[in-house]
Amino acid sequence: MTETKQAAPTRQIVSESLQHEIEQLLYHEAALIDQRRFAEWVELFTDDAVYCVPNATEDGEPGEDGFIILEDRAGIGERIRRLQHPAALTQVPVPRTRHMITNVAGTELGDGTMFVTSNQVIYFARQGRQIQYPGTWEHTLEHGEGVWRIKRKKVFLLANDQAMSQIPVL
Amino acid sequence: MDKGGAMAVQARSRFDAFVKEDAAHRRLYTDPEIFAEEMRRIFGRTWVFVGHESEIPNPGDFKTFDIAGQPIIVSRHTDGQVHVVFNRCMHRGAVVCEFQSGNTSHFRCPYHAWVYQTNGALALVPNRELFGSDFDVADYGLIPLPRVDSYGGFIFASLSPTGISLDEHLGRAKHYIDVFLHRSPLGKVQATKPLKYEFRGNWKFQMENMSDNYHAVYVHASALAATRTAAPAPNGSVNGFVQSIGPNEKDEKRIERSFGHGHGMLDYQGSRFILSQPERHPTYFEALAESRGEERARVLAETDIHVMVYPNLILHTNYNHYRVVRPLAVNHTEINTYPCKLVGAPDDLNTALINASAVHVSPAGRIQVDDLEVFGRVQQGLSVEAAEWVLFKMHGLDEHVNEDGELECRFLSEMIPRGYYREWSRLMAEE
Repeated sequence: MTETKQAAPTRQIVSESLQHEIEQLLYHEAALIDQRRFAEWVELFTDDAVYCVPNATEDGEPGEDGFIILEDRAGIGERIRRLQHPAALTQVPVPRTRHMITNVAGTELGDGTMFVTSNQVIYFARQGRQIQYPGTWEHTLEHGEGVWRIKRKKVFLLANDQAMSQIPVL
Repeated sequence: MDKGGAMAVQARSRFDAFVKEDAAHRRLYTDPEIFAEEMRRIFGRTWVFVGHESEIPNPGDFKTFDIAGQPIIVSRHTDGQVHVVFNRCMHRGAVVCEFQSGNTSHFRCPYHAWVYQTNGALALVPNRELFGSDFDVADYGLIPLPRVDSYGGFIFASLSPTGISLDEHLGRAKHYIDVFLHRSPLGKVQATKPLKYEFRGNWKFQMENMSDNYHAVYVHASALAATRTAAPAPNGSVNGFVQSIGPNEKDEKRIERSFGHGHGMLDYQGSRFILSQPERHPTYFEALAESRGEERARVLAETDIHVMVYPNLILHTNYNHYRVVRPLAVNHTEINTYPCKLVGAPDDLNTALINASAVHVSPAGRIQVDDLEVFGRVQQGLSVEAAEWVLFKMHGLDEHVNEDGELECRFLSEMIPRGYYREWSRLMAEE
């Protein structure tokens, strides 16, 4: 499995076309989640992908810190199987979510990989209340067979040191 | 013999009408006045868990918490002593520490810069000469909690200067705290940062749910279905697993016990998948056998228990965490779950234990989120005045008082919550 941590590389300004590509990928990923097309969402990840949401700090250390989410691709698969199960209580009624994406910045790491950061807010509506989940998203992307895929996804939720409930699919 | 506290003589009180032997009135969960009385009479009186010593291992380490909404600091002073003081400047009242945890040489009030040592002593007052010649800093240290004591590193405090000792309060719970600690080859656990979550429901739901084997197959059906096809993850894998909590042939071996001052425990007796199983972690088992002997080590490594220490502490051996229940309002509760390492156990086991807590009980996990959902729905339903009672009528098999004086039965029952409400009545009745 891929490392959970990725040192932020020196800032670059990528070409307009590359910026367009990565923005479109983030929009596509967010739309798949918001539309609950989870099977297609999982397909965006590489086989060795890691998906992590640190707890209490910006970067957790596996084996030292508990994570809000720490999964490989098989774990993501189990996550979506659970979410789509008719007895998943937090999914019935279905939560409505919308990802807002901004501040997208990409850096080429070489070997067909990119490091992308974005600020995102998820609006979550269910059971008579609306909750916001803002934070910084990191994607390490890998280019192969003509498409970008997610090798590593880390979400730093601003409130990860506060009590939360029912965190939606990030 | 004291039948798990059942026969304790109880004073008559105005709260008696709200609890029956096998039911609790809906107002226990919905009435802000009863919540305020619970904070005064239960959390304001009995021993309340405030933290484990491994959260503050070094001199200068501290954590902040609260009892009944009153902010406190749990700190380790330069001499290694643990202090529990109110987080309230003695001048105008600001909290002197705003961090959840950390390490410091002192606490400095943000308002007028009064400086306190990590034992609470007032060290510095700017313009002190203007407070008059009779002003003595020794009179204005941060106020210590009236009573503080610990067992096995579990620190408890009481807002009341009088009452039974912690030793007496814990009683048989000490045995199960020992089990939790003795699963470490060195007899110690090391807490990691807490996973925090909240729910729109009363604090008692978490205590009830943790002693409830009845709900799991229904509430957690989706988690079971999603992972049933997957083999248990290899050592140290990030995914963990969702253990078999569905009905199986070993279910009837499960034991429930209720004892002492509202405390209780469930013993799964090998009916669920056990993370620290000796065959999966031979290095761990060898280290444990060296300190405890092979026979005892096997029992400890295969122990799968929930321990409920009334009113606010839960131990979970299988994922090796403790949970703290923090009531915020009659219909709002926070839970802090501290995944723990078994000190002296190999890294692969500790990684698996910590990750298992993430899989199961994080606010984006697969198990606890569905419990929280149910707590919210129960809270909503209890607004119905036409139905007054929440029922705990289920009786398990072979209910009896065992040789340790605990009320014991086999799966399934609602015996442990009945114990909670006996203690609830006792504490609420005292004037």
